[in-house]
Amino acid sequence: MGAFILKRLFQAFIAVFGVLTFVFFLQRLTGDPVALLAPVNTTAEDLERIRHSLGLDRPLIVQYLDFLWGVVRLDLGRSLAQSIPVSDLIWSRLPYTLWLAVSSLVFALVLGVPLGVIMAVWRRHKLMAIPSTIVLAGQSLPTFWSGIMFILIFAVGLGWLPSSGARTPNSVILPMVALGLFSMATFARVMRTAMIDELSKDYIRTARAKGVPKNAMIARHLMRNSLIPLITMLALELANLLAGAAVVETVFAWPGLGQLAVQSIGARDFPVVQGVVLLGAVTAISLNFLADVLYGAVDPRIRVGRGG
Amino acid sequence: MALTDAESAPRFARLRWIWAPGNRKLVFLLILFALFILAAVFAPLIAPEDPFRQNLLGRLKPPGTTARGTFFLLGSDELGRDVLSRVLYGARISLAVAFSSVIASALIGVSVGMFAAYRGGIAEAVLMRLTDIILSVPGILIALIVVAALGPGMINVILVLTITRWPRYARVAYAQTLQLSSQPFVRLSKHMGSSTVYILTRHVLPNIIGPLAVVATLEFGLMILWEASLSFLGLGVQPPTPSLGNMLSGGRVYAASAWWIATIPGLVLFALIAVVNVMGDELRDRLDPKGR
Repeated sequence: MGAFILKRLFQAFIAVFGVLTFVFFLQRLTGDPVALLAPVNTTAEDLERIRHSLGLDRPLIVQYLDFLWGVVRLDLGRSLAQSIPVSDLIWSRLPYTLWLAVSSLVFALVLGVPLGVIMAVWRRHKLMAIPSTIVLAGQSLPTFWSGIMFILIFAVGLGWLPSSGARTPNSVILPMVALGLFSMATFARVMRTAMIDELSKDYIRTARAKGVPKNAMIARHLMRNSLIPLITMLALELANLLAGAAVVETVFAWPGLGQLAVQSIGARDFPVVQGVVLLGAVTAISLNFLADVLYGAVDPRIRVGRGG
Repeated sequence: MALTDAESAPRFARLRWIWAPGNRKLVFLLILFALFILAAVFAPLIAPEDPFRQNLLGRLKPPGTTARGTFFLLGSDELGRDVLSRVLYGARISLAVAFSSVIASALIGVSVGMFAAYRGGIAEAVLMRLTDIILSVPGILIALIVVAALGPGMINVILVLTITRWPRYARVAYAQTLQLSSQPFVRLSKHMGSSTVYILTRHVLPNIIGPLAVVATLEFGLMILWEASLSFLGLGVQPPTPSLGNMLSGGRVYAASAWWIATIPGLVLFALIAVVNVMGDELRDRLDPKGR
């Protein structure tokens, strides 16, 4: 297990390094990074001064190492629009995005898992068209559109919930549902497939033959084994939710990181976009690493097979 | 001389398999999808109005009204443009972006995956590690940074989608090719002196096309969704060019007073993605029974 974790950790480290390199050279690829950083109407002398003050007239390799060193010290530069450190901006927005993503994950689990179980156990029932339709809708609804529709129905029409912002505790409900529907469909599908796989196995036939009641069999045998693929998916799905929050936050004016990034692109505030993207990428890679380790921990066959 | 059934049957009867009970669902879906494509391709012929023409006296007219001599079947938007015409042109953009990015990423991904599996060694290690890295970073983040650096626009959206999605095809092609390359007919062809390119395109590719088609179909739906999301955020296709995504962000402001501006493009988007997704699931059941 130790060697397996170490190998995965090394791979995660390489991935972070790759992302940093990509972001650094993307900035340079576009020609003049100062043009990205500076306001639109800057004179040539001012550009030269900015270039010097930012150290952009140094050799590329020095700039690259300097950039890496900055990231290691968690120094992501300053916002151009608000001239405060990018890390401060990120810290003030992070709790909102985390809160939204985690509640969406819980919502998706609470609805998706039972839905998947129902779809597997009663898969030949006439009414199965209903859960299948719910799953298809969850998979195909664009989050920004369902978000707008929720606002129209529940905020504007019925007046039950606030339409935007994060001022009251129930503000999170509409964005949570809009963001969580896709993950709910994913969980339901994974759960259904895993349960159907398990249902065809010998131990289930044995359990049936010796007369284990159906509900006990589902709870004691099926659920446990089917949860393995789900547990490992949790971390990956959380990464997707954190990233997907960008769209939902824009629809609901939710003051999180996604909204910050989208607004910063509009304001041509490159350091902020870069900071949010780097944080998101590192988080996603860490969650991937966690998923791999969890997978190895839950199912020893994986580490023997892959980790060696 | 006895004729076989197929030869003796009238020409149309040979096509009867199309409407066989097992195929009905897939054929129905294909017809729906074809209708979307036709509507998009022939948008200039079908659209009742010029999608760019503003009509400020006919602003925000609900569906089915006539204003200043123009009949708005699906209403007009905040600048008095015909929503129906814009939806048709928007679907055209969605489908064009989805087709281009799926084709580009499939070409790159399949070549990389087949090559890595067949060649092995360092090429395999480096290429497959690269796919892992790209797949571990959510695509929307890559999209944000690329658009922040290169600016928004349709070409950049296709570029971003290709960069982020080719590893999906590479993974599938890799796994499938790995299974095939130890098969006798592949090894035999190699011993007979066939080149790598010949073996991969003639022997391997035809045998792995099924699972790849399934991935491509499901990816197609996802690409439509992504293009719309990026355009909605203002990072994709830029107004005044209509796209289903940017129509929604324009209509969002008027959602409370003129529901149709945001609702109609969203419905079309939802229907299109749902059709593609169900089609992908159907194909998976047929072509790739093991898949997920």
